[in-house]
Amino acid sequence: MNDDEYGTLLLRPLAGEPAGPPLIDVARAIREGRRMRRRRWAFGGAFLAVFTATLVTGSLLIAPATPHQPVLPPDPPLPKSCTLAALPTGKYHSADVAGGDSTGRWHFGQSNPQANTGTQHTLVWHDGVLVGDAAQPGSEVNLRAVNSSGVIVGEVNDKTTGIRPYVYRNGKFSALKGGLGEALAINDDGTIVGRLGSDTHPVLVRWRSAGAEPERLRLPEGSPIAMYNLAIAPDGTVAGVVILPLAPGATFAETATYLWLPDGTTRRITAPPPARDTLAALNPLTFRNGWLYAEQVLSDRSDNTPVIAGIQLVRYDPASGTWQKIGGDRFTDGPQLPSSGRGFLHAGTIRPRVYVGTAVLDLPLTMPLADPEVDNAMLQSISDDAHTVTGVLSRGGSGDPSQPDRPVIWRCG
Amino acid sequence: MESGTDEAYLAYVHGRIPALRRIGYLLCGDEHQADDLVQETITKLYARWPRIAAVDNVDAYTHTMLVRAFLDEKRRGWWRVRLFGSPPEHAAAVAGAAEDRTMLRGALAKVAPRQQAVLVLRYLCDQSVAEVAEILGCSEGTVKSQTTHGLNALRRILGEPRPVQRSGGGR
Repeated sequence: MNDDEYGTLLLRPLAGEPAGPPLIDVARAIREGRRMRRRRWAFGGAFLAVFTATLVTGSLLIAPATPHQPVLPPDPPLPKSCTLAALPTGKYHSADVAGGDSTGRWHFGQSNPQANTGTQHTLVWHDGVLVGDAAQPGSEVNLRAVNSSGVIVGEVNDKTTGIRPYVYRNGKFSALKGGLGEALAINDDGTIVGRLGSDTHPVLVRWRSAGAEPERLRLPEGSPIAMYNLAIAPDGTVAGVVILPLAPGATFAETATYLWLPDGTTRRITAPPPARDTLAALNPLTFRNGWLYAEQVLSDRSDNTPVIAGIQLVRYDPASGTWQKIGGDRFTDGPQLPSSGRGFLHAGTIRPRVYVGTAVLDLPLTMPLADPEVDNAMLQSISDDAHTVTGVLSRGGSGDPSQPDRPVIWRCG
Repeated sequence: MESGTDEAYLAYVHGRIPALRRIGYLLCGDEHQADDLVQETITKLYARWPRIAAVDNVDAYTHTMLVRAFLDEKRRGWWRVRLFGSPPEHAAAVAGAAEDRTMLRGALAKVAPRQQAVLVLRYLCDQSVAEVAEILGCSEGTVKSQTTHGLNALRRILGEPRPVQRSGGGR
């Protein structure tokens, strides 16, 4: 009997499953996990009791809504080459870049991103030059999006007033009207969308400008709760997710993805899952070049406990109703995808690869700035023309102060 | 940082909680502490999710966090108090089997914590040497040596004669 046989036989009596019901509180994990994050970002407590479920209606993804071949929004040409450069961080040893606008000219981030205590500063770059360095107004600041005028939106957590939607313009922070909430996205016209109210009963709102009163986005009939997923198009179309009422006998509430159109109407959109007997939840990520990019979270519907089967990246042309699969059938594989506002859906590996339309742009990690053997690259923005990409280089991602995060920019052509 | 990732987190956690509970239970032998370990793991997982979601093997990363939570608890000594102060309630179905399990679990608890983790992951969770090495962040050679040391320690604690070696150890 060798060691393996002996060990297997010896320990076999200990095999077994925990007998009682789980006492695991995912809501508490998220609450405490939020506090652990160096930058808080919002999440609806109402979602904890929910797993999105859209029943199967088809077997293939590409599903034009009209019988005629639609004219689809064109994708930008894939750049032939890119060069890597550092974004200046001024007096700060460490900084990150967290998002950029559609033109690739404005970017924002913060100093000392690995600090768990102390004051951090918001940094703003224009054309790759550090032009803004502002003390943050609360204990936690989470900036999410910037538009082509350099207006940045997000939220600020102040211990005395709670979490409120904020805007950063011309070097100054100011609160948006409406009280507690979050600003999630802004388009180039300056229209901001976000949520107001409590986590459990939030309402979706739109601010026509940074100084405007919030306007409530009407929820579809019978959809009492709005979720956090929001994106806004240049024409003001808003994409978001609502939680549907729990069906009798159902274990999980379904969600639905809607468009709020500029004419005041709403339209539910549903991407066909790739296989039968699959649950699919659709999360809008961003509007880019006429397309709504989204992730489709797939799960096995044979079990009451939703088990993730994969994430598929898709896009939708609101004009023609056309869906296209972009790629990726697991959220840990494949290139990265731009998301609404700041940051990316980190669908990708640590290799800096990003979707440009349905094509993939490979970005170089070149010495001496980056060591492809040890550096992780997390992409944070890509311009609509795919000529400007930003990201953060890190080694290990462990918060080790001797290995600070480094904001970088790729210029492509 | 992007909201869609939250749903990926929830979907991932909901899908993995049963497996994480099982691993936690096999590591510590106490379902309540297993829940505590999983709770701690998914909390840290959420805190790091925007970055973790970008790694190639999220499961390995999560298992690493779970094992580290277990090792941290061992260092704090809470687990030892819990084990011997309150035997697992669910182990009373068959008296003889329960006694064997309690004795074996007690013996395993006396083995060095990392060796415990190696033995449980390899022989109860059916993880390969390479998988355990990835979870523990060490070399495969270290896993093999920890396996041998752990088994030898168990033999000593249980008072069993060392079995005759007819073939080499290590998978």
